[in-house]
Amino acid sequence: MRKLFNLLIFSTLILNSLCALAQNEALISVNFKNKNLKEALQILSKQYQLQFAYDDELVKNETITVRFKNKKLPIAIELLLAEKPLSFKILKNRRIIIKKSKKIKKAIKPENNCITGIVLDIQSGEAIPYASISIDGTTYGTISNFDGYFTLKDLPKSSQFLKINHLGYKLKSIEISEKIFCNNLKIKLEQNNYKLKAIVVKGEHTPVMRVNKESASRMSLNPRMAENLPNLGEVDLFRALQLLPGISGTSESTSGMVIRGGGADQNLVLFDGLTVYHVDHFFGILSAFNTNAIKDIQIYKGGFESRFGGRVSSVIEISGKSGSFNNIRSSLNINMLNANLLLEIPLFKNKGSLLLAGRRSYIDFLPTFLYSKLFDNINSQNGEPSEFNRFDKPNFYFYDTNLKFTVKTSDNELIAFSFFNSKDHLDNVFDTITVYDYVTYTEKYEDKSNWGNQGGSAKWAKKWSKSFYTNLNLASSRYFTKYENKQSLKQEFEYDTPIVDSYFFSQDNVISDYSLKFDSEWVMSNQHSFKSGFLLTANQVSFRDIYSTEIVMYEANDRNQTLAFYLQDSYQPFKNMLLTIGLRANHYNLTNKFYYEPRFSFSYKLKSIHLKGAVGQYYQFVNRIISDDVLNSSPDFWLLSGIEDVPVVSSKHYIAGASYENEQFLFDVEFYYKKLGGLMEYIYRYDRSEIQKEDASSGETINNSPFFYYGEGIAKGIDVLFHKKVGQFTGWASYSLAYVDYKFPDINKGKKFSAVFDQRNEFKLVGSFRYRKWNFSLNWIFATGRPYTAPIGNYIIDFPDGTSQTYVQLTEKNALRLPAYHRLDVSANWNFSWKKIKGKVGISVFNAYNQENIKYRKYYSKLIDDDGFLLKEPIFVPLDIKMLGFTPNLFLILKF
Amino acid sequence: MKNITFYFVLIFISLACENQKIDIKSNRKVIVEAFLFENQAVTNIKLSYPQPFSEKKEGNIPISDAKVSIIWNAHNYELELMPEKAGAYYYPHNDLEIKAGEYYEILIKYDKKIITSYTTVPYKVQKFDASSDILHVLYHEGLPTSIQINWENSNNNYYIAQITAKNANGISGFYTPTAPFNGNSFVILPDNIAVYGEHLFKLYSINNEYYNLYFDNGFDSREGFLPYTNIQNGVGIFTALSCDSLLFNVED
Repeated sequence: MRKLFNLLIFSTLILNSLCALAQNEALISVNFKNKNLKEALQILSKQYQLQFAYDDELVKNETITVRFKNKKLPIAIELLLAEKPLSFKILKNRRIIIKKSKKIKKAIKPENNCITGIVLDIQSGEAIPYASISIDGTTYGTISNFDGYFTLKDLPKSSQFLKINHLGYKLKSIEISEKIFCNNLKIKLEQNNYKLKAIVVKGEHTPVMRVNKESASRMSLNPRMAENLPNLGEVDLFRALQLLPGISGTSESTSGMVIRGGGADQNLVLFDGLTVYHVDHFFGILSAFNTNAIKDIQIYKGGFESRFGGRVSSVIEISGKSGSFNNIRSSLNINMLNANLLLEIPLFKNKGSLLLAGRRSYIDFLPTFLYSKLFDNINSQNGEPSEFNRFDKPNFYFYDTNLKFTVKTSDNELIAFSFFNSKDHLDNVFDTITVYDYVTYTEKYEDKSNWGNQGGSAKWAKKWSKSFYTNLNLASSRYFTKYENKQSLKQEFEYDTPIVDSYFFSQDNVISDYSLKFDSEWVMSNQHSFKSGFLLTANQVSFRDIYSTEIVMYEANDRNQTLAFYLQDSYQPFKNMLLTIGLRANHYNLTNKFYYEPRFSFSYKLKSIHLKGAVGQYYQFVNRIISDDVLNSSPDFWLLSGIEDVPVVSSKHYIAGASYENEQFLFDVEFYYKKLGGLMEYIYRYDRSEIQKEDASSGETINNSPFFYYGEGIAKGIDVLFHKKVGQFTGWASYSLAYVDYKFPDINKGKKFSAVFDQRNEFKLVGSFRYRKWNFSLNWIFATGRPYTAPIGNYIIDFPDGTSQTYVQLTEKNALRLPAYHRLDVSANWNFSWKKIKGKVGISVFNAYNQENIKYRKYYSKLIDDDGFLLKEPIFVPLDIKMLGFTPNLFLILKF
Repeated sequence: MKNITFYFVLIFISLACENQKIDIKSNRKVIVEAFLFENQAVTNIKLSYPQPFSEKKEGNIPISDAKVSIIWNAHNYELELMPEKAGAYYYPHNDLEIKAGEYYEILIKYDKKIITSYTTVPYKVQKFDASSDILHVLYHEGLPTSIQINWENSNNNYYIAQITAKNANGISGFYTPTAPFNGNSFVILPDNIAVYGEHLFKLYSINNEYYNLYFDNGFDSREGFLPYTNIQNGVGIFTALSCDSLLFNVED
């Protein structure tokens, strides 16, 4: 523990030192009131080592009143000379020429002015969702919508420059003039790529993530920059998400995304508008989303707005790339698990695009070291000694494909079709023949698992006027798991007819989701922006357990429909404050009830600090049940609320926080409190005392369900983030303190206990350093242990029939903690270009110092002591199921 | 700013540290093994603590200084420690009767803890009969080589069955008692019998708690469920049994 603490302090000091090194890129702050311009220039020249060249006559009679903080040089000079008949040019070595401007700037007419348009990627022509558009020097601004459209109305008098910013793109500044009013602006942003032929590092390193300081609990992730983070096989955005504060980074599984104490099934994962129920490959090693096909990820850790519904914890909104509208592009990624190909084709004279992306593992015909390492780790999680493991590198593969077709029928209208398909296949077949005592035993074993997700969506988005936009989305997705196990034993005798014993088991689960969604936005004024819409969802869940061909153990085929409406107003009562008030109403047919979800959020700008908060009610109508033994059956299955007492999950969110941000750093802190209801736990074994209670009045035995338990809980905590955004070194340090307590009447005798994913403390360091053509990244995670229940001793009960049984006495449920979790991942990659090919080759090491982290602790009974003697009673011995150790990976990325 | 962040993180981590050591003494619970038999004296009550895994010893640790009493008909019957038998308690007088259908409570005071439980004595089986009172080990035409025992069990009650050789010296119960089951018949076969002579077929009526505890063992940390118990503030069992028997003879 002491060593860890030292390492923690050392790492933080390194981060701080590196931050300090990067500060030589000076930002400019001024506060001039009726100051002579010449004098002002002289002051700046002295303070910031600037050299101004100007004609004295031009500046000697000008006075300025201007105040700003921490602005980059071009913006600072623009603001300084605003409303003056002067222009400027910045030369090398911070020399600035000031000359007479040919055009005369006019003050903006205050009323009835608007700026409307779309934000696009300059290279591909793709729309950029959720870009920030603001009037420089003011608090006035907006965010482009999912399709890149935006509208700003009733600009303030002082509006001079429009500032457009998005994660992964260079900041763009546009001079505001009457020419651009109410015209459909096409703002083209340039990606913040480093030019490989002449790499000059000037502190323009794009950060991997961005905190939305105006909204509580909202962050975005840059898929392109995530390539540089350490990975496990493939570049994985879900793994990158786990480095953010408030999202647990210790599960080592992409599917086990625990966000602020919410279970993985409580996260709404949307891919181009369709709900994805299965988000991983390879038992959680990789996410099912191909990073090459992703344009943007927005994550809402709580307090999300009314347009989202159906989940109680968080929203992960993924925008798929539409593909380039301007030129053919392709890329190829290869790593030690799979190959990944992307093709983007422009169509209809830059009015349309087609994107094709595909990934497939090749380990079924070319097993790699990485595959062996990963599979051995998964297999060992059964807890069996290795000689009893059933799987000796079975036939396993996974693949996924993305197809997207987009047509811009006009500048204000687009139609898009998106398809997604992923599948994992595990197949273990073996035969053994043994001859013993003139009998030939032939054993056949066949074990097959398939699981995956398929989906498609069709979208029609139209901007009807400068202030009204609609989006209609029809989507369908299907998640399936299928498991089959066949075993047979044939005994062939020398003089008798053979005997054949066979066994068959299969389990099928399918969840289908059909949805029709309509969203509209109406920018009424600079004070009010309305959003409204509806969502009609139909789910169908089928589940089937079959033994020995004809015995159906359990069969369910259930359907539900949910109809939801929402209405939301973003209201700016005064210039520093934004209030968002919304209501979502759901009708769920299986309970035949209405569920109302009022939601409210606010942000208030106090100088450089943003105060923010949110409260809201959330409901969920489907529940995912996770199986721990991933190799023994299908990995999970879904159940609908309202069927066989499965409850509707509910949650109330209370969030408050603050952000401080300047050009270089961001400090963000958020407190949250979540009240959870309708929780469900699925447990293979059961406490017989709880399931067979005698009804006091009738004396009859009540048989409760042996597997499902229902209760409520509370999740609360604080997330702290310190982010260094620009410079040669970027990264963040985050700390999360969390409490997740459950209370189930039939578990732990009704007493409160810590939920299994209650990770009390989690500290994360993420750093990325660029040097010439090299990128170096590391992330270090330290988290205190998760709770578990431990045996404290054996006890024997002597029954009156003369038999004795040994039992284990346990602590209270989840009363103890596993040892702390920590790991360091590192990666290095080298960028190169050859003719028209840009590439990246790298190595990534997961768990670089081979820390033996414990996934869970299992106990098995031991009958023989260390000296080989039979024990009178068995003793229970702990067996720690380990997580992944030192795991290196090589990768190559080529872009054409 | 940097320093503030650093100290902020440091303070939170130090505040939120947790103790990961297992405190066995505060977590352990008293084990109760308490069986009442219809129409028999109370002689089978044992109290103990579990043996910690760290100790390489076997068997429970007996508790001999507890105050134990049985409550029946709102009257408290205090038990005494058995002489020379650590951790075992009995009722030395004859005014405590164990009757079928009656409700009994146990109250244990130990180490500032109060441990309680209750049970009801089950009834003997009804319509209890055998297909024959002689079992022939060797085959003779027309003579039975098995005995079927039947009884009524419309309530799906649980039972354990046991065969004992009545007059066989040194062999008191060679037929292993069955595990609890909830049927209404039992078949005795010659394969189960080792000596000739008179035998007793005993059928114990048991309560659900007996069945539940008997079949409950093994776990891992993901489940974290306690083994069955009907003891409040302790572990183990407080239950009652009633027994009926049939006599049969084993011949060639």
